[in-house]
Amino acid sequence: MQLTSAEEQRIIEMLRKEDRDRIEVILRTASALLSWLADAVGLAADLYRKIRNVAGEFWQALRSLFY
Amino acid sequence: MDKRTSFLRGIFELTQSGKASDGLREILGNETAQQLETLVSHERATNPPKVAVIGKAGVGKTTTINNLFSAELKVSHALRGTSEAHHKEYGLRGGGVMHVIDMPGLGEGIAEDKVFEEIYREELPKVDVVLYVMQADERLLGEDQRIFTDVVLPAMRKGNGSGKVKQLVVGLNKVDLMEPRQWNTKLNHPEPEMADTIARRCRDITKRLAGQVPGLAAESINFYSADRRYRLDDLMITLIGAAGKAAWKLPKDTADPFELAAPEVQEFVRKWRAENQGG
Repeated sequence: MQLTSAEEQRIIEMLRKEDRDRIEVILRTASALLSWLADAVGLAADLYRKIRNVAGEFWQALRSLFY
Repeated sequence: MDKRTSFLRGIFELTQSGKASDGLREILGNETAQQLETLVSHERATNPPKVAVIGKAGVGKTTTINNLFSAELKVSHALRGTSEAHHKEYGLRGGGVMHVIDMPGLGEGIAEDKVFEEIYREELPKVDVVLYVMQADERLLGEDQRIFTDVVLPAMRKGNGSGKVKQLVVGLNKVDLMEPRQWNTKLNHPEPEMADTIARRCRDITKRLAGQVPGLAAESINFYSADRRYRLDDLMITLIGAAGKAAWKLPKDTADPFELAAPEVQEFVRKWRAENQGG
C-alpha cells in the first residue's frame, strides 16, 4: 500500500524530531562524561587535561550547555 | 563529518560501547583514547549504573525498562523479605551491567507496605536515578501523592535537605489509552487531536503533582507509552538530566517505534534514514 504525501510529511516530521532528540541525548551524555572526568582523580585528572587541550576549541561551549 | 561532531559522536559511542572510534582516536591520539577507554571500562565495572523503578502492578514497569534501555536481563533475585521487589542485572552493549531495583508501589496492604518502605529507605539513596512509573490518569493520583510525600522523597532526601529531589523522574505511562483513542496504527503514532489531548492532560497532571508534592519538580515529569514506544527519547532525556554526572553510564538504546508501524512505513523510514542519517 502506498503512502500519501500527507503521511510522508508526518513521518518526516517524526523522524526530524527523532533526530533532534538523539542529538540532545548525545550532547547531554558527552557533557555528563566530561563533567564526571573533571571531578575524577588520578589518571582521570591527567586525562581530563589532555582531552581539554586537544578538544579545547569546543570544550567550554559543551560543558556550559548543561552544567 | 566535522571535528566537533566527530568528537561528540566518538565520546557518545565510547560511553555506549566502551570503545573509542577511529574519529575519536584521530582527535585525541591513540594513547589518550586508550586511557579514556580504560577509565570508562573500569568505572562501569566497579561502579555500574543503578536505576530504581517504582510502580504499582500493571503500570508497565517491565515494558518500560525493556523498551527504554533495550538491555538484556541477566540475573534477577528477590530482595529480602519480599517476592515482589527484585534486584535485576541487565547486560550492557559495551560490557558490564546495569542494576535495576524493581519495586512495587505501596498500597497493596499494610504489612507489605512496611516491608517495601524499609526497602525504599535502604535502596533509594544508593541509586543514580529513580523512575516512578504511573498510569497517566488523573483519577489515580491520590495514593501516588501519598507515596511520594511520605516515603519516596524522604528516602531520597537523606542528607539532601528539603529542596527538590533531582534524581527522581516520574513517567506517566500508557498515554495511548487516553480518550479520544485515535491511535494511527499504520504510523504507530497518535492522530494530531489525540496528541494534543495527551499533551494537554499530561501538563495538567504534571502541574497538579508538582504543586501538591513538595520536592517534586515539574521538569522531572514526562509522559510516554512503553507499549507503543511513544516518546521514549523524551523520557530518556529527562532521565539523563536527573542522573547528572552519572548519566553517561546509562544505556541509551531506546526501542524503535517504527518497528511497530506498517511495512510500507518501515520501508520509507529505512530509506529516509539511509539518505539523511547515513543509515
